[in-house]
Amino acid sequence: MPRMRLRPKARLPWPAAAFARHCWAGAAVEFALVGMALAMFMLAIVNLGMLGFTVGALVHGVQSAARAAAVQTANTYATTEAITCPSKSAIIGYFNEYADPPLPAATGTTSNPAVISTWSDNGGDAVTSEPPGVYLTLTATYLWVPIGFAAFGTGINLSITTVATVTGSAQAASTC
Amino acid sequence: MLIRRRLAAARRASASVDFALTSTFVLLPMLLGGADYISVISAQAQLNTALQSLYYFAYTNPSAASNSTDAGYIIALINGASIYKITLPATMSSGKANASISYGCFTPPSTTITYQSTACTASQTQQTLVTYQVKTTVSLPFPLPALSNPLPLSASGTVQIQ
Repeated sequence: MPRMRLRPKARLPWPAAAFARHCWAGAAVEFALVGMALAMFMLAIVNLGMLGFTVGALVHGVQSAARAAAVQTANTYATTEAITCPSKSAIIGYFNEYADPPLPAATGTTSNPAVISTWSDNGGDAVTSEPPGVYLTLTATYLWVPIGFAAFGTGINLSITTVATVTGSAQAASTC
Repeated sequence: MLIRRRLAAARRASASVDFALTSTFVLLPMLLGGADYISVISAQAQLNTALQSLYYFAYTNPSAASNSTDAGYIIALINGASIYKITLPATMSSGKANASISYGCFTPPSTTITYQSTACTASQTQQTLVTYQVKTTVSLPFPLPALSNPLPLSASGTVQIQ
């Protein structure tokens, strides 16, 4: 029975033919190719975890900072009968205290993260369509850039906003 | 037939083929699902924060806690700066009106509380509670077959105000 020829000889030019004959370190070459992609996948999964951690810290920072500012205002009002709201820099300080780590320290409304605070006053419920009293609207934004992928994009914008009302301020006549 | 035998006999680049199959059907879907998951938890975080704002509003203004105009104004303030647009539906999923007041009643020395929508009798001790529900939708960056897109999310809770 004639022997079946499974692999007809390919006519390759000299350097390619010489390269194709060598099977040494084939697995290493394959691992080098596959390993890069696999490392990217693993880095992406690590980044997903870091992003979740960052979102959690941002939420905690905003909620806690707003509440701390509102409670401080309520305490001051209870003792002095005057509404004295914490300054923007004091609120940023609260945020930094609660959101670090993993977020870097905020310094203002244009830093990364940025903290934007606005006090509103509706003492005596003068405007019926708005909640009575003094309240703080606090927003923190953070441009999150994934580790190892900075060259592929500009990152993801994260933003959390909360409103904290000041206890006992519904009839407060003074403003911040 | 010849081609099939040649392919079956070939062992070169088998790891690359394995990886291509694995990454296409396992790793890549996991990664895309992870991106969707992050979008969802970001929106849910904003939703929970909005709900907490309503809790604080209710604590500090018990007499206005059921005022849906005031509650809606707080949500509007949040929407002014938020990526996600939150709504305060007039009717909650339970069928009750949003920002509805309910009462927990018990007659001492018994501590068994009965929850009802009407005020307690004069001989009973009364707890006043308010229930809020907020909703939003999130557009998934990579829609998956099992999930609707945009994905509706909601958060609801009851807080004692008096």
